[in-house]
Amino acid sequence: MKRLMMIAAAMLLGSSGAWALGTTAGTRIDNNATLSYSAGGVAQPDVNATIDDHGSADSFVVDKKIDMILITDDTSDLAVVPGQTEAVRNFTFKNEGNADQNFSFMAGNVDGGTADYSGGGTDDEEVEHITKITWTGDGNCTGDASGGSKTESQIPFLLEVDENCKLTFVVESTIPTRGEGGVDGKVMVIELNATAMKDATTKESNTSGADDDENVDVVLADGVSGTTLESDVTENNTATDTASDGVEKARSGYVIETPELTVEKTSCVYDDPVNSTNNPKRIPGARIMYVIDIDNNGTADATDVNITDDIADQLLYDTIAHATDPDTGSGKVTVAENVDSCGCTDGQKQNDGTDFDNTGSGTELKVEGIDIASGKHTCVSFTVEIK
Amino acid sequence: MKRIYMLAALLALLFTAAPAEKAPAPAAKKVAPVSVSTASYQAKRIKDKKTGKVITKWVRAKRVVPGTVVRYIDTVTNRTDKLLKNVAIKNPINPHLTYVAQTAKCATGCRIYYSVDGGKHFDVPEKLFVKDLKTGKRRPANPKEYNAIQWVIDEVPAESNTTVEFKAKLK
Repeated sequence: MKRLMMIAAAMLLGSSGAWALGTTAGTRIDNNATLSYSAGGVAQPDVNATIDDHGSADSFVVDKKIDMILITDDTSDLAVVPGQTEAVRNFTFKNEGNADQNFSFMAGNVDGGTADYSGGGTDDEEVEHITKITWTGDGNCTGDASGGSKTESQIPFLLEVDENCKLTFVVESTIPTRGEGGVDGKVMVIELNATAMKDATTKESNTSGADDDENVDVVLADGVSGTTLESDVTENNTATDTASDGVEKARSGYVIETPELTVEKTSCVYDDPVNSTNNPKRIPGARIMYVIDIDNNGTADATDVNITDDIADQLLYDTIAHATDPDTGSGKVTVAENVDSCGCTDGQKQNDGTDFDNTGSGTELKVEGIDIASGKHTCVSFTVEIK
Repeated sequence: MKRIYMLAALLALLFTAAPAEKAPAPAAKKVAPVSVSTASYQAKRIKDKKTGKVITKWVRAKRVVPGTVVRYIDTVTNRTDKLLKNVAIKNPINPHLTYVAQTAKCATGCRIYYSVDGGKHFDVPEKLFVKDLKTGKRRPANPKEYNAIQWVIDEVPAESNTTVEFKAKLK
């Protein structure tokens, strides 16, 4: 009874594997024909077609079709910042051939390439490192294919992938720092590729020459449009694959989005003890308005920007700690959209709409918590008195 | 002395008798008066040496992978001196193959029937029904569900042969 159940289970397993994505390599396909006729009105015994050594009138062995699909699951470049680690890109791979197969997996940067999805940028910078590749297999995967990970020094790596096994890959990269070239707008495209391997060092190739119908030959069938039988993975790469070369590729990318801040400091005289506000001059006792214009030319918003300014000795220290808003005289630093008198206009008004405190001490002026959206600038102003 | 002569005579008899006995001729292979043979083919695109154009040629099925269409040709040979009528050929379709609709044909006049029960019963497509696995209801059979074909050839003349064929795709 136990044996019967085992046989039944084996048949069930066998059938599900065999029919998943095609008849398993090595399967013998027989064909028989039977002829019936009458002679002189008398039915004659049935005639079977001539039987060969394999008990069939005609038979052949199913060859090995190496077919796989590798795509990126991403739909746009991932926005990253300089120096970011573990920046993740996602891929799906499936062995769509009719046999278990060894594949070598490799990931790297693609100079000048573009990702497989539309709207991706053109590679003009390299990721600093591809630090890790992690994979998870579905229910059709066994052994090493069921899950694992490899670090930078272990890439490329070989994996035996079961017939019909689907793997999801996560590739982690380190983005170059600003000093390494990781500046705003740079695009890094990476490629994951899978190569069908005969063994650890030999790539699979088509069996050359005449076929032997008693042996399992190799037919490379990857990347041929329209040959996917029942795949639940839809091809989405455009120009990266070559048909029937035993290699599948997929590309995804990163784009650096970071604030790019520039600071410009200007000053204008606000009034002096002699002329008051009528054409004031920079004489002792004059009040000077300093304006720090902070420009964000990057593609990302800047938040919590801090300004620190060490005020010159010649300026009245006492007033520094009480840098005042010339309009309100409230003793605060103004961060505003306009400081017309010093020509800083159309800046970004801060969210809270209030002045910022000078949190510095001594000769230092310090303003914290300024937000500047991408493509915007803002005006920081304060007033001091010349000794 | 007499005994020696008798022994010599006996030996002589043995050695002279042996060559006289001819080795039995190999039995002639019995050729059936009516026979059927089957062969499988697959399409191969080749470049015509004369025209340089790429043409499709049917070659013996040897490099077959999932998705390959296999063409089976059954040849019926009538070696008798009599005309045979209503010669029936039954060809089960291997479960690893799917019949390609409307590819069953014959070189001469014939009627073609199909089976969805492994060849127990053959009929014309309009009369073939299966139980739908999803709904459980009876519905017309899809050609992909045929698992055997029967050709009834009207006539096979004496001392001649004819062919029937079908195509099926490897799952």
